[in-house]
Amino acid sequence: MNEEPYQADDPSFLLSRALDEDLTEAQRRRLEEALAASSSLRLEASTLRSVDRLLKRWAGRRMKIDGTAFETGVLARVANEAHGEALDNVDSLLERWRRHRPVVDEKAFVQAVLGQIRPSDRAAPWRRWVVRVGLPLAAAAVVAIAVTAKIGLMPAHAPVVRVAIGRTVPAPGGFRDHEHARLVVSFARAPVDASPAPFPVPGVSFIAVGASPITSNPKEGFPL
Amino acid sequence: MLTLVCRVQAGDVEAFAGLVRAYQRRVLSVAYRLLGNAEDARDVSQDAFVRAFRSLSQLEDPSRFGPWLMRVVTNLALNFRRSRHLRSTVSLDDQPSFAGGVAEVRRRTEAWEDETGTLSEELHAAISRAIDGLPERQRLALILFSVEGMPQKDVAQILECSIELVKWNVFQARRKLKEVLADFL
Repeated sequence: MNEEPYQADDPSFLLSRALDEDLTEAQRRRLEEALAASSSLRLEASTLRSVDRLLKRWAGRRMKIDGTAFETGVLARVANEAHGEALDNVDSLLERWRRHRPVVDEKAFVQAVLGQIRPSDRAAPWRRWVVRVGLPLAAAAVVAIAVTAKIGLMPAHAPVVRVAIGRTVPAPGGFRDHEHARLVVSFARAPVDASPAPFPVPGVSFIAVGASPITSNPKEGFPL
Repeated sequence: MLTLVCRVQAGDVEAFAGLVRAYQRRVLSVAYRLLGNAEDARDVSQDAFVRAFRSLSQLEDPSRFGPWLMRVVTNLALNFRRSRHLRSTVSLDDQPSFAGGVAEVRRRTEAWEDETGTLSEELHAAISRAIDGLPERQRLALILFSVEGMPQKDVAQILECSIELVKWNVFQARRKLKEVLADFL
């Protein structure tokens, strides 16, 4: 819809302003002269007055307002806003307080702390490892082995891993001469051969043997 | 009123209740005229007051609180109306059917009260449609000045134009209504 450009002297415009009693004395006289001279202008004036009356009757229908309920709703939201704003203010205050840190000469602080530490207080690293890791592990291993041995939890054919380091005597269908070590896994409770080395309780153990053979049974071992 | 505004600007939330009480009828009325729907008018009016509370510190002249508040509600109502128009044009399938029947009519009629009691439903609807079809500035000028009786100076501030242009827009609106409502005149 195109809007017409403003025309201050349009007689119809003066008619509209007359409805609002918004004419100067000079404008009112000019309008009266124009009305007297034009029947169409008089018709238009009558129509505009009818429109204005219709509009006022239309405006008579108003929205029902429950003032209390509306006011309560608004104030509840405003209170939340204010509370939120207050919380924001507290948050920003806390943030500012958090950022406020004392100025510290870090070098001097470290020197002072180190100066308080006696040399004897500083144990060798390996000692610390033994105390913190090795001893607890060893204790746990001892307890585990003792408990399982005591209550006979070891299976009948637990593998026995024996590592022999040294030259071996060639056995029938056995191993190559250049072998230096042999890994034997047996599943017997007791060892098959009569090695002079004491054999441990079934489980995992490592035995270092010099020139003595571990076993002469090739089936028990396999070449490395 | 000036005292209340100053107190709210100073942080007195309780004082805002006085401003709500003083302006709620005018704000609701303007929103209702612009939106044609009581529920929407209530929502927009609440938003307007909350927005006013948030931005009150920016009001330099406390004596201009009334026109300033009307400007807030007018802008919010226009934005709401535009978004409502966009929603209705995007999905025709969502148009509410008149399945409510009598209950729907009762709900709608209970939203308003008629002081004159002489306008037929048909005529009232025709006038509403005619006003709704006006260009935005003409509709605003007509409703704020001719219907709500706001001073031309305040309407000019809301529309961000001169007082003369307010008068011209009112005249243009009346002339268009004359054409559209010719059958009823």
